Amino acid sequence: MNIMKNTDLMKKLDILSDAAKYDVACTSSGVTRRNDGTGLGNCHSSGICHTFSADGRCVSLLKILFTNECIFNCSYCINRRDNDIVRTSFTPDEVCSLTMQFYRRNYIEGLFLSSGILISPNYTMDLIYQTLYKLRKENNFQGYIHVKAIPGADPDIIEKVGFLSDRMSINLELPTRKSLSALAPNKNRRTILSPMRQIQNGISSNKNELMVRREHHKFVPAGQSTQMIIGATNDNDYQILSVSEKLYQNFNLKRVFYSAFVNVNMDSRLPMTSGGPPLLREHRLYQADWLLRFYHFSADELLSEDRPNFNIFLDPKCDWAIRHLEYYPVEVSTADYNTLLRVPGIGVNSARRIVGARKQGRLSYSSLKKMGVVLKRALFFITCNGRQMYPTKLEEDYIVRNLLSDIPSPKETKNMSYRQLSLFDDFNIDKVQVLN
Amino acid sequence: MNIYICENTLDGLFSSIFQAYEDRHPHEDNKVISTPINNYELFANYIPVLTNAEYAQRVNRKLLNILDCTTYYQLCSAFLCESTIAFEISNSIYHTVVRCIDMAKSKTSTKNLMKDLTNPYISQIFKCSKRVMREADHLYGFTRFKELQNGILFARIHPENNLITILMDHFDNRFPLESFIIYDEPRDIAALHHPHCSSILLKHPSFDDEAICKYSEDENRFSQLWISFFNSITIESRTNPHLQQQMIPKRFWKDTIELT
Repeated sequence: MNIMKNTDLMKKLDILSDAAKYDVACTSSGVTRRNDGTGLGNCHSSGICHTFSADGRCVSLLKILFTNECIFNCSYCINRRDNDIVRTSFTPDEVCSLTMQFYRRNYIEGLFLSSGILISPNYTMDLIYQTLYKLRKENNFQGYIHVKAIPGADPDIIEKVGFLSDRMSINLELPTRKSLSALAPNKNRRTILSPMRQIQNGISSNKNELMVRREHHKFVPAGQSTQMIIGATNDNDYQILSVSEKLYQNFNLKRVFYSAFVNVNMDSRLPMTSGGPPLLREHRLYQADWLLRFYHFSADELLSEDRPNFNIFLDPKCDWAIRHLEYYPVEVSTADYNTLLRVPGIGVNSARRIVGARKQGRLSYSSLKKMGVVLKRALFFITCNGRQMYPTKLEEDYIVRNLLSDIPSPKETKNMSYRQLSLFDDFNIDKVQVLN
Repeated sequence: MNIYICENTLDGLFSSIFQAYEDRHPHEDNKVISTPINNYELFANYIPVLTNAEYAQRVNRKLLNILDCTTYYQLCSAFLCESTIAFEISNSIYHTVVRCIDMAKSKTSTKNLMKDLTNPYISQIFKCSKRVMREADHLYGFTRFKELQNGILFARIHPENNLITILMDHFDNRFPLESFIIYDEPRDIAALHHPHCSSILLKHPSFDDEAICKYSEDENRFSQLWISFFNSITIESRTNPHLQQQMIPKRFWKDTIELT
């Protein structure tokens, strides 16, 4: 292994941020904390994006690995033990100085610290703890800190780290036990889920304590998140979405992130992503994830064993609406909030605005437009004061034809040869070639 | 029709609202304009209003009494909007204030006032305020400070709206122990902050051009580190410049370090 000691900071930052980039979570949301006047930084519950990299992803936190040395050998990971790459580590002081100096120039919203596993999970977690302790207590940093819990670390050190950080996450990596043991032999469901459960219990018991003693330290106030890799195994969308739903329900997660698989190792157990990473699939999963969290949908409504993958032409909400035309048209001036949410073209904000505005006066199509309703999608599904915007048919074919003429078709469908669009198509287009 | 012409400040607008109440003309026939007029109307009575801090304060106090803070904040932030959608925004604010005061007189709650988006005045205020707050949210992130030789952090911004006061509020709380200056170049306004002092706003600050271009030794090092971090965080196989430009519009690029 090529271990670099005493390299300059620039080189280290280059290597260790490059190694961390496949972690998709880069949000700084979920906690509001005002500065107490003695240190640097504060937090906004909505999160702040500081820039956007060339792949269009938000850069909000200084996303780095503490070290890219690793004793684990997960086949999808660029830092796995077998890879011959340059290895290096930060020192706690370097991480502190980078974070403080970047923060005061307003480059970043805080620190995202992950790590490869050096010597043992406990040893690594302790290094992370020391770094955070320096940053929080010695440098009095009050900005956002997101830290990865290392699977297999002791509960008490995870707890100590939890009191210094805003958000913690443990990556689930793969949706099923089987695919996890195939690709990540050193990890298992238990070492991932037990710290996740510990953090969940920590958060809820800490909330009860806070009610009694206000000055008490907060434990992981912005909640925890996790991440799954999409497209590295044969798991279908239905499996993935069901797992997310269970995580939201049983573990109170704030977010589940999906990361389209990029084959960085050219490993024979993994599919070649010849057409680039499965970005459309990732996008559809995020859309469905939003439907679970904010639109009161359940995974079983969106997908089923018979239809395990998302429609590539229509977003999951439109797709659901088209299959359930019996609920439409919805009268916007009387329908309740939850019904409004299920209309394509009406989102959380516009549904709230409609509910507020119709108490004050009559709605019209022009006022709906001003409230942010996307009429070109919604008009097939709503009536306003008993009238449609213009006469349309409540027919599957008619609506799909009109919807598709307005929505730019995903680039994944561009190279397809012409054929009759079938509505219930799945993602067979990115059928992966498995190298053997 | 009576048209009140006031100075383009919140105080000016509040003074003319006070004046309009003093004059006791029916409010439906009144109009308040705070931007310079280039086209006069026939059959209108133009009334210039001098800004009076005391009158403005009285209107302000009244509003704080009858409105909840979100609504009050929306009214004030809408006034900062300088895009084309803010055409005659002072008039919308004036008529909304009149409506609030009427509601308060008849003891109706003003809590749901801003939800009445079918009303054109309120819908305009809502839109303008949203536009200002959206740009403020952008600039919370996209503002970049550079450390000068004397240790002061200096940031230049070129915003569409006059939102330096909102930014000042944000960064005051974020960096209480730093000395920093935010300079709105097109409007020539600067916000100055010094630790343990209250911040001040300066019009036409006339900075020493040389002093604000001399950066400290560390500055170059950390900006290079930042640029190299920014470049290495990109996943090449996902490159999507269109999405990037959609998320950080081009007009912000020149004030960031990593995209210029």
